[in-house]
Amino acid sequence: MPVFEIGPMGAGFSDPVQHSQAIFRCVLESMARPGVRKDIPAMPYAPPPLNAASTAVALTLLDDSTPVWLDGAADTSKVREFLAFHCGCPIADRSGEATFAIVAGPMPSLDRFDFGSDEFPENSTTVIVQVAALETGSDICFAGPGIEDFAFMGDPGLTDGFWREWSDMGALYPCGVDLILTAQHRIACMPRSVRRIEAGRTAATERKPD
Amino acid sequence: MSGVASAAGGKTLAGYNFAYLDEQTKRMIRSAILTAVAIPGHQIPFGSREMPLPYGWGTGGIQVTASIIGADDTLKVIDQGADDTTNAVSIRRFFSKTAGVRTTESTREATIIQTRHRIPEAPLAEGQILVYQVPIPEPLRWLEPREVETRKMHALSEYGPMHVQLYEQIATFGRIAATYDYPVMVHGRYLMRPSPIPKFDNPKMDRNPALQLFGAGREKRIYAVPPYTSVKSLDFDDHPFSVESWEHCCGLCGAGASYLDEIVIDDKGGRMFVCSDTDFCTQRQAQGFRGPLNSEAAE
Repeated sequence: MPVFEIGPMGAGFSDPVQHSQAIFRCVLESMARPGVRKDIPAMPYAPPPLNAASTAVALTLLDDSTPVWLDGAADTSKVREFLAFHCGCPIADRSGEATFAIVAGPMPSLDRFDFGSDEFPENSTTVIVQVAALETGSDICFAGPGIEDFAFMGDPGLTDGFWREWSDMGALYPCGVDLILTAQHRIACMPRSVRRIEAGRTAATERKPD
Repeated sequence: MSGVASAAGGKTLAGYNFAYLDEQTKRMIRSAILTAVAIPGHQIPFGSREMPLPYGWGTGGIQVTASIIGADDTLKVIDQGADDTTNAVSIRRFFSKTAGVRTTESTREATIIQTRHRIPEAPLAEGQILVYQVPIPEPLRWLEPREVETRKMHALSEYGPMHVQLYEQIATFGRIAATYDYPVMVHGRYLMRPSPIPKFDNPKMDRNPALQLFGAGREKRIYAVPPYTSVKSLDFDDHPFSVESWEHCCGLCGAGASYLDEIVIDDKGGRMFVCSDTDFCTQRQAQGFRGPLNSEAAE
C-alpha cells in the first residue's frame, strides 16, 4: 500500500459554523458595497504564501464542488495540502475551468479566467487576489451598484495593464469576473459591475445608468 | 479566532445545525448570493432544499436567511406588512429555535428583515438586509413559458414583449393595470420581478441603502439588488409610473401616506382602512397619533 506523507497540518477555523458565517458576511458586505474594506477576525494559521484573509475566504467558500486554480506563487505544497484537507476542493489545471482562483503573485491577464456567457454570466471565476495593501486613500475611484456616488480607496498596487483590462471587461457586462482583494487581515471586493473612474472626472461628467 | 461570537450553545434546538441548513448547502447558497450581488437583477439558479414548511410559505426566503444569519443578528419577519400573522410568527420562531437569534418587530432594530410581499414603511439603513420571499422569479414567464427562451431574452435584453403587455393594458383599460409584482429594470440592464409587493413599494427599492436579496425556493432562483442601485418601474412617457393612493387615512394611527389594507368590520357594509405595516402603525400610535376610528373606540 502506498504511504502518504502528511506533514503537520495548520489549523482551520476552531468553530467552522460560526466563523465561516462571520467571514461570509464580511465578504457579502464588501461585495455589496465596493470600496468598503472589512477586517476579518484573527486566523490561527495561514499556509504560506496565503495571507490570513485569503485563507479565511477559502475556508468559507471552497468545497468539493468548487475547482480552484492557483497561480504560480500560490501553488505551494503547503497551500495544496491545506486546501485538500480543510476544503476538499479539486485543484484546476487550467484557470479557465476554475470556479475560484487564488492569485498570490502578479495578477495574470483577466481573460485567462472564465467570464461566463451572456446566458449564464454566473458561470464565471471568482478570483481571490492578494494585493500589497488595502488602505484608505483617494488613488482609486469607483462607481457602480452598491456605491452611493463614488467610493475611494488607496492604491492596492495593481498595474495599469490590469486597470485597462478591467475597463475592457466592463464592455462585456454581465459577463466578467468578480474579485475579492485581500491584504493581511483585510478584504475588499470588486464585483464585475464596478467601474473605475479616472482621476479628474467629476460627478458632473459621469452619467449614472437609468 | 477571537472577536466572533461562538455558537449560541444551549439555546438552539438539539440535533440540528445552526440555522437548520447543513454547511455545504449554506456554502452553495452563499456563492449564489455573492454572484447575484455582482450581477444585480440576474437570477442565479441554486440547489433549493426541502424545508420544513410548504412551498409558497417562504422556502426561498428562509434558505437565504439561514445562509446569512449569525448569532449576533436581530431578525424581523413580516407577512404583508404584519409581524403577527401565522407565516411571520412561525418563521421568526423557526430561527429563534434553530439559530438562537434575537427577534424583533421593530424595523429599525432589525439587522435582517425577511418579508413576504411588503417593504416596511420606515426607511431602511446601510447594513440592513431585506430578504424577499419570491413565488415566481421570472418576469417574462407568463409571456414565454420556455426557460431556454427567457434566458435568451435576458441575455439579449429583449424586453419588448413586456412593454407590449403594459401597452395592451393601456389599450384595454386606459392605464397600466398591474398593481403588484410590477416589473422593474435593475441597474439599467435586467428586467426583474420585485416579488408580489404592491407597486406602492416599488419606489422604495430604487437606490435603497439596504441590501435586497430575493429567494425563490420552488423555482430555485436567487437574485439581488445591492445598496444604492437604480431600480426603475417600467412605464411610458405619456403613461408615467404612479403609485396607488387612498381617500382615507389609517383608522388607527391616522397616517395619510402609508399602504392601507381594507378591513370589513361588520356584516352591514362597515369597513375600515388600516396600515398594512403593523410596526409602523404601532409606533405612530405610541407617539400619540390617532386615526378617526381609534378615537371613537377610546371615547
